[in-house]
Amino acid sequence: MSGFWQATMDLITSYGSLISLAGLAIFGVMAVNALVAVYFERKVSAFMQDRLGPMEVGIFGFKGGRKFWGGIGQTLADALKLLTKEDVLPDKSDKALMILSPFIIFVGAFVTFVGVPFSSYLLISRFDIGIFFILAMSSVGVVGIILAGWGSNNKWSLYGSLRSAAQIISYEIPAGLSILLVVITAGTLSIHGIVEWQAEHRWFIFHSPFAFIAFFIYFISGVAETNRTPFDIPEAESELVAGWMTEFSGFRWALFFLSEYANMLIISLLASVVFLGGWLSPMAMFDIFPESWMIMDGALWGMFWLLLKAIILIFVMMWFRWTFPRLRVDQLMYLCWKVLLPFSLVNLVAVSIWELLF
Amino acid sequence: MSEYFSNIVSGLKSFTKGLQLTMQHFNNRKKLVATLQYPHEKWPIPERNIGFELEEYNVIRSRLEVDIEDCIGCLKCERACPVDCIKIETIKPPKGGDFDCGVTTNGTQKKMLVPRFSIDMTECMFCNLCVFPCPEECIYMVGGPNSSKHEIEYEFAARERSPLIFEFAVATEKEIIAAGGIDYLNKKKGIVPDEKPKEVKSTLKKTEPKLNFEAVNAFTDRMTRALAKKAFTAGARAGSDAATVATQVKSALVDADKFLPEYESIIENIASSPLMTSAGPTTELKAKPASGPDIKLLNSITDKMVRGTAKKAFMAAKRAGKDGAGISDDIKKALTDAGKLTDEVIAILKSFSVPGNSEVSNESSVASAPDIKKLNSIEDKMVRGLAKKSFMAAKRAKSSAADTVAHILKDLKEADKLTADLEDIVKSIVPDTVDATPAPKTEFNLDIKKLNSIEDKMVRGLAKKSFMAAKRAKNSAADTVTNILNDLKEADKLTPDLEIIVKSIAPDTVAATQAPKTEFNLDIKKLNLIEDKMIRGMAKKAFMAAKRAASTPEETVAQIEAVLKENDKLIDEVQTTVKSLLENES
Repeated sequence: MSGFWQATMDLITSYGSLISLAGLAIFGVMAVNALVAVYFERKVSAFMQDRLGPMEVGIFGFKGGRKFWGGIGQTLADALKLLTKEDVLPDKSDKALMILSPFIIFVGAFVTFVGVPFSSYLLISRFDIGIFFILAMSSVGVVGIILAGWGSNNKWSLYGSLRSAAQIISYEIPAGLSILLVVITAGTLSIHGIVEWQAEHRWFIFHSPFAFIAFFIYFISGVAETNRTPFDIPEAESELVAGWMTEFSGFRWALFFLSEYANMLIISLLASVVFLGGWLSPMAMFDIFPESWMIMDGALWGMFWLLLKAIILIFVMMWFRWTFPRLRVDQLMYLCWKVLLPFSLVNLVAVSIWELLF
Repeated sequence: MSEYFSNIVSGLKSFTKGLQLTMQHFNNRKKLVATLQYPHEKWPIPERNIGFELEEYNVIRSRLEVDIEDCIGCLKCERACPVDCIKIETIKPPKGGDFDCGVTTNGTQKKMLVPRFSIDMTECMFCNLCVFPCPEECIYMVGGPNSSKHEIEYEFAARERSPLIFEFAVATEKEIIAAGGIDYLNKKKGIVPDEKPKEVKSTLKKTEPKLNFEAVNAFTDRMTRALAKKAFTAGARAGSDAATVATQVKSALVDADKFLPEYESIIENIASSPLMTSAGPTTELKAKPASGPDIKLLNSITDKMVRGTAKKAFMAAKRAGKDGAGISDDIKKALTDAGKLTDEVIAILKSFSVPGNSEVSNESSVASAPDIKKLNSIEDKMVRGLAKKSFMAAKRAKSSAADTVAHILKDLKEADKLTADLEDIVKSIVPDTVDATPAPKTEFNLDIKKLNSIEDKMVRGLAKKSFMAAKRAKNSAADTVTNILNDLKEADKLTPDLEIIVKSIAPDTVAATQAPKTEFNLDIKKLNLIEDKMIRGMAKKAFMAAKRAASTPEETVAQIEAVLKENDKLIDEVQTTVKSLLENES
């Protein structure tokens, strides 16, 4: 045992500065993502509902556009407000779990970023089992959610957390099966291996009709895993106040928020990498462009293409959220077990045969 | 199984349809966004066309506004307020003092000083209930009929409460003190005088001889007068002699920058006149009205505005210490300046200049036997006024009955108004002719109510007026009728129908008119068959007129038809209905 601790300490001392640098980078990405995405989400929702959203708060006297995209400092102000709020722990709650659970959820999202690439070069670690790692780590959050619900000692919170657990565990299956198609086809769990396969052949979404369907199955499951509307039954304002987040306030609640938007980014990035060609430029997909244009495939351009794809997917998630009403619990389970799961199973078999035939 | 797939298909369809809808809104946000960026953008104040004229219907109630110079301090608005957001405090200037509260634009003499008139608009609920009771119409809602007076405030918002509590009173401290509101001021400032000294003060006041303000009152400017009085009172109370008090008054005025060279003579006057009135307060009160003509004489001026101006001039002149003739000159001047001088006023003013006529002696009224009421039978208002005036003058002069008559006749002759009729009337006031007058009174038994059958309001009013005039003159029945007819003829209103009605008032024709009245048994309800409301109303009106005029059934029908024909409403159906009035009778 002492050998294990010794090895860990050695690792930290030798790679400490590197690890903390990577950690700070991930945290920076998560924080900026949350700031931008919350603002983006509020604007999108406002425009879809014929409103304007935040328009007044600015940074350094700059409010943003006067007509539509104003109020760019709103999320920053809200974040500052959250950080200065009182940290309330209910009397009868399990205080240890209440304090612990936000960090478990946060760590779940945080660690997932270790395997998520921003371009072919810009990533923390290049695993051979990248996809597997991402799928595994993004499920850690469920533990935090259950602890949060239980620790709150509140019926609504417990209800919400159990719904959330059931939902995430259920939707892991079609999501995993959809990604399995890619793994089977590309023959690797490595993210780079999958993108390289797409560079050689074509984007996986255009691999076959079944892969096309698989993308949508994965994306819908991904939305469900982030507990966003129309799959937000764990929060369900009208039924459960705020679900498992009810009893949380201040900084610990801010961590939930941060994790939710980080999960959105993870799901979108993964979908882009696996199905939409990752950091490959869309122009490389077609042969009609002259060779000289292919400079758009460099390292920074790669990040641009990947983030563009992710942002479009995030926008689609928001689009879903402000379009559809919440599913009932039974409808949610029906969709997962009776629609998405059979289709992904059929997909799996069909893509296997497709690979044999072509 | 097919249901399963059809469910999925319809699910996908609604899925895309929903996404399309929200995307449409997202894309067309520039057209669709409904938000108004309020502090930066504002809705225009909407046009208020709700089918009423703005003058008639106050739709905008922006806030309450008070024209404080018109406020008489009646407290009606304060009482009307359901939420008690109006707070008014008033000071009543002491009686006999000459603090002038001013005149409202309606010509009402204000009797109160209003040192506080605050409206808390944070409490106001804009019910408009305070606006209706105001007799001077000085409290009103900004907007609506008053939109020209004030700008309508768009937001009417403030960061704190204080700017929303409006104080409209403008009375200065000096004015309040001049109006005798020292106690009020002290109370407001939190200086509560000790109880005991107050009592001593009040008892002292009673025993002390009153201060002689006559000389000080010569200051015409209100502010100056108040200042001078204050200094005068202080000096007199301190026991100084007249000369020192006068210098004190002068220095007080100089300090306040109010001293003018022409005040020098007044200051000298103060120095020479005694500080205290020699007599007690009761004698002073009696002496005051005796010192000049009575302002009440001016009450006989009919025009409100003229009366107000005249009174103001009167008070000013009186304060300046002028005698009757001087006062009347002043009033005349003020009225000519205002372009309001009429003969009536001159006649009234004449009585001012007669020396001694203002000395009212109460005993004379008991002794004088002639009855002024007999003069009421004089028809012409002007003449009546003149006669009465000279009657009163004679009475005041304690003339005998015969002298009074002679006096009145003389005055009337002077005014070129004397007629033979008038002479009779004037002579009748002498007691020994009293027996003669009650007799015609009992004889006068004409019924004014018969005139009610005159349809036209104006004509009816004229006829009644001359009827009353005739009654006052105690004319015989025949004379009355001719009088009325003459008057109507003069006014170009005499028609044959009218003549019949007027003639019917004479008692000897009563018997003739009463007979057909009982005969008039047509049923007005038959007219209800007329469908059109307007026509029905017209027909009924004509019916009632005919009934009042005691027409025969045939005449009635003819009259109704004539009225309808005039208005182009005589349709066949209506005609048959009207005619049916007759049928049923037979």
